[in-house]
Amino acid sequence: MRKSKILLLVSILFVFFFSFSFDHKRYQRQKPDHVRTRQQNILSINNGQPFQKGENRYATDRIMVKFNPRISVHSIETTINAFQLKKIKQIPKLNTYVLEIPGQSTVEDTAYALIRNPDVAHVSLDYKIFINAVPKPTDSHFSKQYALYNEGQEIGFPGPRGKNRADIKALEAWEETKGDHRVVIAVIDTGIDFDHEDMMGKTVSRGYDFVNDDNDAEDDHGHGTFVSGLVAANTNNGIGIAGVSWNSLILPLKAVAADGSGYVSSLIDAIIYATDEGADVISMSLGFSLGPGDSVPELEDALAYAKSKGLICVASAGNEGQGVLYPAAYDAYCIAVAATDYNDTRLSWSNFGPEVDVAAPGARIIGPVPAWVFDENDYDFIPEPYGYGTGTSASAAIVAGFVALIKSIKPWMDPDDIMDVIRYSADDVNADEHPGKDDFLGYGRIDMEKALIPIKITGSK
Amino acid sequence: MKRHCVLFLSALFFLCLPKSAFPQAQDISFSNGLRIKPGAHFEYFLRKITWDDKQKISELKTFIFALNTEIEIDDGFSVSALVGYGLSNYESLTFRQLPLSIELDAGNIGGIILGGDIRKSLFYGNTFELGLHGQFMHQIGLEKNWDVPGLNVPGTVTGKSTWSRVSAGPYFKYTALQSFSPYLALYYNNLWGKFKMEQAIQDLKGLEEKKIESKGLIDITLGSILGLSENFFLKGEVHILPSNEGMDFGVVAIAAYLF
Repeated sequence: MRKSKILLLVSILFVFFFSFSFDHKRYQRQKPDHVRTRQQNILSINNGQPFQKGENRYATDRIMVKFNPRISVHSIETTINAFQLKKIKQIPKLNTYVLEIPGQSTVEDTAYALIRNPDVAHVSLDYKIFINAVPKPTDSHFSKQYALYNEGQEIGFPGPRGKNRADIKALEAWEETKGDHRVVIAVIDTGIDFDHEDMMGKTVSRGYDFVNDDNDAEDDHGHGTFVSGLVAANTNNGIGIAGVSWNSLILPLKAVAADGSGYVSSLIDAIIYATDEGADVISMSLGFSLGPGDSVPELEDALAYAKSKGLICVASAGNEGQGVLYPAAYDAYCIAVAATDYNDTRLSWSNFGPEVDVAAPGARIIGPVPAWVFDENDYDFIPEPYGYGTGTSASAAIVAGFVALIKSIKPWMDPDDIMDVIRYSADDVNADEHPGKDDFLGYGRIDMEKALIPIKITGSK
Repeated sequence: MKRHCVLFLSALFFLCLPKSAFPQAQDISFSNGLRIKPGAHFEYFLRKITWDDKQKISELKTFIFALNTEIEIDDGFSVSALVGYGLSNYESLTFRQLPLSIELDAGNIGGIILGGDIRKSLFYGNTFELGLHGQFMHQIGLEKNWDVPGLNVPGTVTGKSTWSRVSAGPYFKYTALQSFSPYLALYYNNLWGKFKMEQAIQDLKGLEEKKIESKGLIDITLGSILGLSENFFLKGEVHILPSNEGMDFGVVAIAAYLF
């Protein structure tokens, strides 16, 4: 009984072992040579798939034909003439001709006809090749967004030209992530223009207005719409600008009134509201300075509460050329952002101090603005709802978008780690003057590519 | 993992069955007691490995230099043990769970190789031999450090890899020639392991452990044993492992001396 079981097992193993080679041989025997050749030819054209008419992935007026090696030049020319083809060029080493197809024939029909010719070994479509350039978003003002991609272009017309690649390496970073719609950035500012063409559908709700104490954070100033756009405007939509985090959503919280001022109490309310509403990032392009010896522990407590819930707070350092403003100066809870320009140079008015963590472009930044903000007499008027802004407000908004990108692909990271990633991956653009971390640009101008794209390790220590 | 162990244990059990349990066409039984065959084992293999829940594929290239001792317990039944050093090159293994993502393309990482073989002849014909062969190999990885380039503060990553490989299956050996015995084998051959990567950049720390698994599991082996003298043998093998992603392969060379 035991022996028979073993015999059965051995038999199964043998059958398994030999069936591989027998099956293979049988398969080969069933395919006569000429059929195999034909099939290979057909497969070589379009990988066995039917042609999709109207596709432009390959040339429609030319084709590559490889002739059998034994065929004479005379025979080749006869074949070419018979098909009314015109020789464009020859690749002698491969015995291949690039042939122009007459106007009345399609490339597909010609290819099928040529395959049937016994002199022809192979027919290939002449596919179009493209350089592997990093794709740019289609937004109409993207070329003016040097902060995201600076190739020394003119920034507006007339406008200055910056230094090549003095930017935050957004194109490279977007290859890794364009953000996640589940990542919400609370923008505490003057609200948002919900009807702006580049902001429509980008908010999780109507937000909250802590100035007028209602559930509608409609922008009555313009600043909030501008910074919200930098964070996460509708991108690749053919109009306006590109946001740093394409797919993230905004929770607009209005803590600043139409005159551009507000109260710390509103800011505290907004921070707690953002935390309780489940936001991931808080962007604060605002600030205030404290009197000597003064403190606002309630604000610090609110920031600590947000951080304890995993929120990352980003705040602008300020534009007065003095010490860093609050809340950015709360070093343990906020990423304090200074401003650089299109040459990677620190702007003289950018506030400074040991609290500065990083810098981001903040000069001549284009962003969405409610249509009623500008009039035709303004220097920077452009007949669209977009305008240029300058200040650490823009810098902070760009960094907030950057945080959202990190949070999109690494949602498990805690605020301290995300803050460190942003700091350590920055480019020390003022290293000649102030090597290492300094009070002016912190660790340097942010570099999203280094922070998001896997760093290649190629050598040993 | 469980499935691999069951298969390996089944193969071992099968190999340990007494010779009498199998049909014998020609019983060539003689006993000289234990015969010891120490030797040197060189191996190179290229395997496609999957990681990140089989979402990503890259290649593992490994060189193995080992000392091997085969003990022939009974005619047609032998076991062997192997110890050595392996150099494994994981191409483009990417760690995205670390605070700063890392793509490793840093060449060889060393490790201690331990392994064993078991071989049992089951059936002898006039000109051929059929049998079963099983092998287990394990690499205990050694830590290696790399600097993280391009940051404004110093940082390092430390990598350590371990893998195990099990193969088992029948072989068919042609024995009509006097000092040259070619053979063909069909193995179930699986490789699995893990790569641990730690990151330390100032106070920013991270750890990612990546499970790896080989792609092709069927191993078609062509080999031959060449007797250069009565006691000195050379053995060569070519392993071909087809998979959906292409062909993996391996080559083995063993030089052994029979005492």
